[in-house]
Amino acid sequence: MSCQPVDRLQEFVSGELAAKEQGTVKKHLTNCPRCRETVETLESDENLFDALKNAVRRSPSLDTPHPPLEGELLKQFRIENTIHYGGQGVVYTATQQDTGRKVAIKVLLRGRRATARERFRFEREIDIATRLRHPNIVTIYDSGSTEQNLYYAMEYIEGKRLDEHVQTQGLNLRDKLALLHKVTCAVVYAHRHGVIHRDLKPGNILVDKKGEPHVLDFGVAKAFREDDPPRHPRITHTGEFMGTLMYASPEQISGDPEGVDVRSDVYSLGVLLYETVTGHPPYNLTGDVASSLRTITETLPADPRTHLPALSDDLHTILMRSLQKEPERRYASSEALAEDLERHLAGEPIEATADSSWYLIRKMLRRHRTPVALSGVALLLVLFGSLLLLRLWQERDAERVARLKTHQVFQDLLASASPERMGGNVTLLSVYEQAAERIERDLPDEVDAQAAVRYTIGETYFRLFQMTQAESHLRQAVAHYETTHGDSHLEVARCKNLLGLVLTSRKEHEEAIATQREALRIRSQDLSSDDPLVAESQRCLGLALQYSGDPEDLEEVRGLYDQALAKFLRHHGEPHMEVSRTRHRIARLAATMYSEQGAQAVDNLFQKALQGYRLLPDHQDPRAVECLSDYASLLESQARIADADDILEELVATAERLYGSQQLDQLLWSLASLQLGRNHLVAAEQLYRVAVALRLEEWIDMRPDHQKELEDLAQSLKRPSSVVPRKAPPFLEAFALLRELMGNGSYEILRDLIQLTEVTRAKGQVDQTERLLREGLEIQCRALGRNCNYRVQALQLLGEVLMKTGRANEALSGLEEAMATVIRVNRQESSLGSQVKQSLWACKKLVEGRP
Amino acid sequence: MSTTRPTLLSRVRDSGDARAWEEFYAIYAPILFRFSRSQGLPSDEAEEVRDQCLEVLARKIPSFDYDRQKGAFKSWLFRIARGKVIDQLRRRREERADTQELLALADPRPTPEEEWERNWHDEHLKYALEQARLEVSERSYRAFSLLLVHDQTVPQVCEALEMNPNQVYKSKMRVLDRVRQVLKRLEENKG
Repeated sequence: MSCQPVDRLQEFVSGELAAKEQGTVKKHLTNCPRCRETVETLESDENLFDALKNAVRRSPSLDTPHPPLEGELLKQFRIENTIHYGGQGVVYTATQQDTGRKVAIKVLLRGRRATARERFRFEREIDIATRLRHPNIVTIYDSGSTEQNLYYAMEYIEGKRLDEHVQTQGLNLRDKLALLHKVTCAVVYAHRHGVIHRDLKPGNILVDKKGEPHVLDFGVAKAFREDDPPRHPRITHTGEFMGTLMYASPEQISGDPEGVDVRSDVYSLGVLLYETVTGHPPYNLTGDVASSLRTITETLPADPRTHLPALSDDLHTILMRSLQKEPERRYASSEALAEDLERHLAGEPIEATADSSWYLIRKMLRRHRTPVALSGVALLLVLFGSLLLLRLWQERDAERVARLKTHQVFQDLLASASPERMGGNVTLLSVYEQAAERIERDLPDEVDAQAAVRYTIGETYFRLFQMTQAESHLRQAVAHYETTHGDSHLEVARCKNLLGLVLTSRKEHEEAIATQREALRIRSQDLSSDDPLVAESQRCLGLALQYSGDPEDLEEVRGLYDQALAKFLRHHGEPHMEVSRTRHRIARLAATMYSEQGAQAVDNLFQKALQGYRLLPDHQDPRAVECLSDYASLLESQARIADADDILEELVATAERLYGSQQLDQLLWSLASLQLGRNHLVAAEQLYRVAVALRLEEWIDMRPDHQKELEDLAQSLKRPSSVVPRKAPPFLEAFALLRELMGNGSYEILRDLIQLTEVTRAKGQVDQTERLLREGLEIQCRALGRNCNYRVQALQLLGEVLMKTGRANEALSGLEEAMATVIRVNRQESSLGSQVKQSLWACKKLVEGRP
Repeated sequence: MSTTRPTLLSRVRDSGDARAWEEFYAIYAPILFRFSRSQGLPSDEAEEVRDQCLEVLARKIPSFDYDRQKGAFKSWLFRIARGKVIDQLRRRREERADTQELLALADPRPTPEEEWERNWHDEHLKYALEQARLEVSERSYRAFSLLLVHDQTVPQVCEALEMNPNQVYKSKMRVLDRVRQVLKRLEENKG
């Protein structure tokens, strides 16, 4: 008799067969060892099955063994295979139904049942990864949540892990370095966007069939920019870090999360480089955890020449520099490493020396320092670097360094790291912030140092138009100086001047005026009345008064500016930055007092101020940008559109030179919003045009398939409005294209769209506003989930538009959704919350008021 | 599952082995978390306790002598977890002077040892099932999970997935076979 089918044997095991059948099978079993074996397996299967059933049933609240996929997720994607089942999530391959493209989907392991922290981490991962768009970083297309799942879809990379790729492809040294250079550039890009990866390892870098590397998994990444969601205090899991000892930097291993910065990624890149180039890991970690930790934190990596005797000196230096134990001895940034790799690939000499100059200086200073006085300097030196001290060091004039007074050195140090020179480098800002914390922790007695650093940070934020942060740091600086020097010290005055400017920007006019008066009082008391510092305080007070909006004060303002200008001219002559700045103020004031001055006079004032800025070496004053922007608005208000366009063109060129194209984008948005605040609509719109055009251009390299479209759109956005007959700029098309390119995944577009509707709303373009908002809501509903502030704001604005055009009925549901979100995230008290409340109330009244 | 696999432990001790850590974490983190929950801690505090225990583990594993006796690791980890949970409960009591917590401890619920035993068992099974899933086709797994998680009968599964009973049984056997192999690897694999 042939073998019995499994289902029949199963029925036999569970006793479901009729007695006669049961007998037949039994008889068969005595003759058939194969079926006998099957039955035995089936019997023990029953026990195992029951045990599994109980295990799964007992913890239903926590975890079914996999998240059941459902709803929107299944509608949008055809799930194919499971490719990874890790600690945090399951990764599937899938096909996106409407585009047909292959994607990888990561689903949070326990879906809705995940703990708050797991959800937070997952959402943060999405948030961070969506910000990054780089050809060598895995792109996130889409994300969302359903009843059960939290997920995101990303580019599917068909390829190998970095180490496997290197082993199997037989790359030569140059290819290997070029590959790692690309990885480094991706990391540079992430750093520039305020993200530290923190978990760079071969498994997180996939190399596709064309040999392009793709960095993925920002699950452990840390964002250090100020616009982050609040950080969970203990975000780092033990388990995460356990897996990647080899690639973790000594500071990561020593468990000091504060000590982790961009240089930790530099270290991990160093390990990857070392392994890739030599084919061996830098350490032999075969012992237990404790001894491995010791190895990583204490012992030098094996000399790479033991594995690769022909290694060049430069490459040797690059490897060893990246792998230094102390972060300050490594490359100071991923850029520096990338640049050296580039130089090496181009056959040029590298920049790095075997050890960081700063480290040597610090060591030297340690030997010479007077105990307390210079310790702060030593620390600052490491953190900021100083041209002055470098020069001194090169002269080997150590004695002179040691004799310098602490305070003087501080000033020079800070001057060399001035935000204007750095052009608002956000990465540097994070270094400052850490410096401030470290100084306060490690050197509680160095109050002057603390104050100086706080001032610099405050100033940097001020330049970046981030006034809330600027205010808090400046207040701390004032407090520090007041503790040591009393409240009438010149340093206090310096801080107060800047604080006053910040307060004015924040429209805290009364306090701004009081603060500036106090600063002027201090300086007038201590200095001769002709001193340029007094002039500076006069100008600052003038500004505070001017913007408080009290016309009574304008004469006093004019007097203050004139006095300041006279002093600056006497003291500095022309051209000088201070002279130009003061002229700029007077011009702006004159524009306000228009009727008295006459248009030509105001124009002359601006021209003169600009002339001064232009004559400065390299056009190097950020205020020039503001002055150009002001002049452009003036021209616009006089309907001299062609002139305004010329000035705006100069503005963009100047800003690009000063800030680089990275920051330019951000700066333009800020300037536009500034112009909007002054009701200069054409100027604001022009700035938005350029900003959006820049954003489009960023994509040209990444998406050659859309090159033509991107270029055309960018071009038509950039073209000055006077050249083309006035028609609506193609914002909508631009954003629709960006949305397509970004896979609907980024809330940035929504934020920008909302800002843009400030223009269309102010211009009364109801139709355009509605279309922009609807475009924005399209983005959001599939992107960050419904709790996003921008979505609430967009809903509220759309509601207002609909009500204004007699469509209150249509407005109601959106406003109700906005209100529900406000309540859900408990933001009723915020200003947005109360706006939503008001709109909803008005809308309900309109709807119910009808017959 | 009374023994903890010397191989996994020794691989974990040999800290260069990243996969070992991953597996280790995947199994023990939920055991520790669920145990803490079962002892009356809210989920954020249970996470706290879980992380504390894992930190102790990372520090102490190198000096842990797993050869000494069978099941030693399990009871060692239990002692650590129990200690941390008690600390946490004590802290809560200090903060809230909540006698209910004390009363709850005297509840005729399963003893901590029983809870621990059960969690240990359950989590190993679930981990094995998760691993097995990766080794069978999605279709086989779906059939299996309908039987296991959703309590469906074989004819129901046949209808839902358009399979015949023989295929359903074979799927079940295939999954269970994988589970058994994973468990075997986890459990003995003394080599």
